Amino acid sequence: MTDESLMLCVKKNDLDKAAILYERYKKKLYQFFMYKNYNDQEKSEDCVQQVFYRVIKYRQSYTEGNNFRIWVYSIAKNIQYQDFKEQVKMDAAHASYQTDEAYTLVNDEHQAMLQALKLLPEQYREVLVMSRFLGMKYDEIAEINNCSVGVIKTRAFRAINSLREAYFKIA
Amino acid sequence: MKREETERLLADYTSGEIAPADMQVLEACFVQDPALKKEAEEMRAVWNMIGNEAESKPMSDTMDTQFFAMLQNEKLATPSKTAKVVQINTNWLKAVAAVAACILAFVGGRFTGMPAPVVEYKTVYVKQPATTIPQPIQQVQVVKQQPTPEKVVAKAPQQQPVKKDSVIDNSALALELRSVYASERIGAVMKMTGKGNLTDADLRRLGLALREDPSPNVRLTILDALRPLASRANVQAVLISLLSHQNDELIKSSIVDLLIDTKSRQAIPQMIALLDDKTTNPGMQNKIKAGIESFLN
Repeated sequence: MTDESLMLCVKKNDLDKAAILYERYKKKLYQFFMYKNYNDQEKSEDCVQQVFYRVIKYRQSYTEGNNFRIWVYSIAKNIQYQDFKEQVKMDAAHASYQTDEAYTLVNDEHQAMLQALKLLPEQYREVLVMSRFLGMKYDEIAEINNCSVGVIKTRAFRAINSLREAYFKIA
Repeated sequence: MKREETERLLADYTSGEIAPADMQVLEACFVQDPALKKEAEEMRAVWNMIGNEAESKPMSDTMDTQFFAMLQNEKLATPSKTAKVVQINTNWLKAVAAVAACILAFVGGRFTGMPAPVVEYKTVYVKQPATTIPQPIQQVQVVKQQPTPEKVVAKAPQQQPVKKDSVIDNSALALELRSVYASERIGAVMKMTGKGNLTDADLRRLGLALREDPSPNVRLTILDALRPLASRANVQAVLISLLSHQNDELIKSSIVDLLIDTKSRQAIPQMIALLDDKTTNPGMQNKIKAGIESFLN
C-alpha cells in the first residue's frame, strides 16, 4: 500500500495503519531531527513522537491526493520551528553566561563535518538534511518550504560548498 | 553562463539528480574551467561523506514503546465503526420507543378514562292547552259553506252541534283554568265566579285548583272569589275539606279566616285538629281559638 492509501485508512479511524507509516518514516524523521538538533538523541526522539501524535490527532485534515511525505515533513518542520523559537528564548535567557561557540579546527573528520553542519545557516542546513539524509528531491523540498526549486538548488549548493570549504581547510 | 545557473547545475550534479542535457552543459563548463571541475568533485566527496554520518546514532527502543502506547490511547478514545453503528441503532431505538410510548399513552388514556357522556337530543313537543276558545258554531258554519265530504268527515264527526250554553263555556273555562299561564288561570277563575251561578262542577274545579295550583296568587284569587259565596254550604264543605290538604300556611290561614267569618260550625272539628297539630303556626292557633270561642258565644 502506498503512504497515501495508508493515511486515508488512518483518516477513517483505522489506526493500525498508522503503525505501518510509523515504521516507514520513523528513521528518516529521526535523522532529520538529529541533524536539526545537533545529534541530541532524546530531543529528536521526542520530536518524532510529536510528529506522529499530530499525524494521528489531525488525521482528518489530511486531504486525499496530497503527497504524504510532503505533508509529514511539513509537520516535522513546524515542530522544529516551534522548538527553534523556544530554543532562541532559552539562549537569550542564558546569554550572560554562555560562551561563544567558535569554530575550532579538529582533526577528526566526522566531528569536523558535524561542526561545519552546525555552523551552517538554518536554511542551508535544512535543505542539506532533507536532500541528503532524507532522500528528498529538490522539488519536494521546495514544496515543503513554499519556494521555487531554483532557490532550493542554490541553497543546496551553498550548503555543500560551505562544508567543502570547511572540510578541505582541515585537510 | 551565469554563476547562479552554474550553482544550480552543480547542486544537481552533487546530488545526482542532474539531467543528461544539463550534464553535457556542465561537462562543457568543466572543459573550459578545470577549477570548476575540481570544485564539483570536492562537493561530491563532501556529499558522500555526510551521507555516512547519518548512521552515527541509532534510535532507542523507548521511542517505539511510547509511540505504540500513544496509538493505543488514541484507539481507546476513538469509537470504532461497530460502536458507532450500535450507537446509531440505540438512538433510533430510543426514538421509536418514545413514539411508541406516546401512542400507547394516548390509546390507553382514551380507553381507560372516564367515558364521555352520551348526549341524546330529543325533540319534546309540549301539548299546551288551547288558549283560544273553540267556536263550534262557526265550525258548523264553515262546514255548511264548504260541504266537501272529506272536510266534513275530517272535522265534524266528533263534535255535536250544540248551542252556545254554560256547559260549553264552563269546559272552555276549565281548559283555561289548566293553562300554563297563571294570568290566564286567574282570568278563568274571575270569569267562572263572575257569572253568579256557580255550579257544583265549577266549585269542584275551583276546589281542585285551590288544592293543586302551583301559584299562590291563583289560589288566593280563588279564595277571594269564593268569599261572597262562603255562606253556601257546598262552598264551606269544599273549604273545610281543603284545610287538611293545604300545606301553604298563608292559604290555610285565609281559609280559616273565611270559615271563622262565616261562622261555619262544620269546620270546628277540622279546626280542633289543627289546634292539636303541633306544626300549626301559633298565630293561627290563637286565631282558631278565638274563632271557636266566638262560635260558642
